[in-house]
Amino acid sequence: MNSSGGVGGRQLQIIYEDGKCTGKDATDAAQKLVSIDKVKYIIGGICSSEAFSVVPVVTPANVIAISPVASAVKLSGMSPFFFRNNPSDAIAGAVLADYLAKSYKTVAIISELSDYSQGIRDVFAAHANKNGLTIVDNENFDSSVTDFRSILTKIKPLNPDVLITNPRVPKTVIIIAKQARQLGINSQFAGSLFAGDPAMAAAGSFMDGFVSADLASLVGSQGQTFADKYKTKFGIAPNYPFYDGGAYDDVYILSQAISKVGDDAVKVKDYLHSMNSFTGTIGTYTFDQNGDMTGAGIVMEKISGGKVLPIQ
Amino acid sequence: MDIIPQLIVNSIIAGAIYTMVALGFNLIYGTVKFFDLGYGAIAAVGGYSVFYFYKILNLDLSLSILLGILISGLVGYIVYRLVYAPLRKRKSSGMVLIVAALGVMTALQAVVAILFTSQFQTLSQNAGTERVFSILGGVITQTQLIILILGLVIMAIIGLVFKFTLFGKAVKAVGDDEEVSKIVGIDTVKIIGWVFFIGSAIAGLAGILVGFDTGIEPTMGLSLLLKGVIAAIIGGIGNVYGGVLGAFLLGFIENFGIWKISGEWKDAIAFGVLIIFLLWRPQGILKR
Repeated sequence: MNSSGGVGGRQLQIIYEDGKCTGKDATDAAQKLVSIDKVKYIIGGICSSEAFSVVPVVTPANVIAISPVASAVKLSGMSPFFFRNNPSDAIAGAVLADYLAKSYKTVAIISELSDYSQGIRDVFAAHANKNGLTIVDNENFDSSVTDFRSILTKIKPLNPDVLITNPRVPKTVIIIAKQARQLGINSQFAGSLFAGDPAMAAAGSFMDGFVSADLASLVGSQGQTFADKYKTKFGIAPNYPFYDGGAYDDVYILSQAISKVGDDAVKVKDYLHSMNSFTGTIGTYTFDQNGDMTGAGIVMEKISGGKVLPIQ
Repeated sequence: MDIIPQLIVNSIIAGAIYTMVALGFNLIYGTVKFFDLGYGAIAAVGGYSVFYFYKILNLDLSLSILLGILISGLVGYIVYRLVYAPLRKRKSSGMVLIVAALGVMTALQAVVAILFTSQFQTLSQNAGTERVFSILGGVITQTQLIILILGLVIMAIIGLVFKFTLFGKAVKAVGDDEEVSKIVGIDTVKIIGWVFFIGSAIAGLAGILVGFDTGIEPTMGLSLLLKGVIAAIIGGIGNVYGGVLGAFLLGFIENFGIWKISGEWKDAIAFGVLIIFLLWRPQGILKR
């Protein structure tokens, strides 16, 4: 960016602070950036926990925070100055329900008692209702549980077309799927956001056929260019392609906005809310009134023969 | 379709796993009378040892399991000699011992995580394709059947050793009164060392079997330990058969408890039962 003349003739300068994925450190970091460095734009907080504490610091100061990673449902619409080019967790639940409703009639869902899983469950249920997908059983479990046999034994006679596993970490999907197949449950298995974890596809043949609403990856020529540049600079492929690409896009999104409306965070904020579309490394997308990414982010995938394949 | 037969089988499977943990815990607690939290981490040591020998070095399965059990026992023994024995010698309070045990647990878990990462792993080579048996109208896998049989076999062995051998009598004596045992000439440090070795080996075996049935992760021990302890307390702490009885009782209560209500109540039910026993029958079903 800077080698091609910067933005409006001025060079971009980046100041790094570490929020350490905790609310308190993120507050300190944001306060330092806002009141000492007088920045107008922050890329972060990265973790949802950071974003929750960065937003109250930046909003009264008219500073923009844009996060390529934070996904908590409750961040939606928290502040007009907060944007994210990472889909809210809830969107995965919606995409999954819309997809399943096309081929199936009944589902049973097993959710962990965590904000994350309950958020996905609620959005899934709302979309399932709208699309005529019937939830025949809605079970919850406490995070420490590893024995799902009796929950699954209750589900088996209901014979749902689809069994949805909705925990907070991938390993629980594996445990539930294994125990379900052992008990002779033949439903289609589905879930969200974990198919990218290497352990899932490698766990065994019982994971075969598992469908999942997942984070997209780098797409298009811009995605390819970014991946190549990253490889040249660091010697490895991006660790988290969607997050890394999102952060890369954020620099261009902010630059584009600043060159259109000037170096004024309030005007940039209005510009981002009404921006037609932005094509970056992770797709073509816009921001809605809540600051959430729309138009890209979630794709359907299927585990087949130990590999994760996209569903067209 | 009737789900009761499967619920019964599920209860027996859960009870069998709790049995394994309760047996070793009961043995150690009954002898030294302190809450060895480190015991939970030993289960992870066992599981990860087998993971290393069997899945990384590709050694023979039975050799890997044997090594896993021996390493668990050794780690338990070393922890006793290095940490607990000196503390007990200087008559440290129960509080000091439990804090030390907490340290042992955290340190062991951390070492396991450093060596093998916190990634969840399964031990079986072809997970999900193992043989499944039908009993009482419910299904049980080969691994679960092995857990059940081994649990009962170990119970019988410990019971017999306690009753008929000099070593068993010495362990009982130390559990009853350590000072008097010393006076009558029992080498208590040696006896307790053996108890730690055997108890830890059983914990390691439990971790290995759970690894084949479900999977392993560095923090797997604590929840296993808690369930084993509940089983030991409701069955009768320090009593070999009581621990087993408690384990199966807990399995049945947990699995039938969520028959008509949502599964999220499972732990609430288990710990509710524990509190009821602590209040009204603290000695458990069977006395020591």
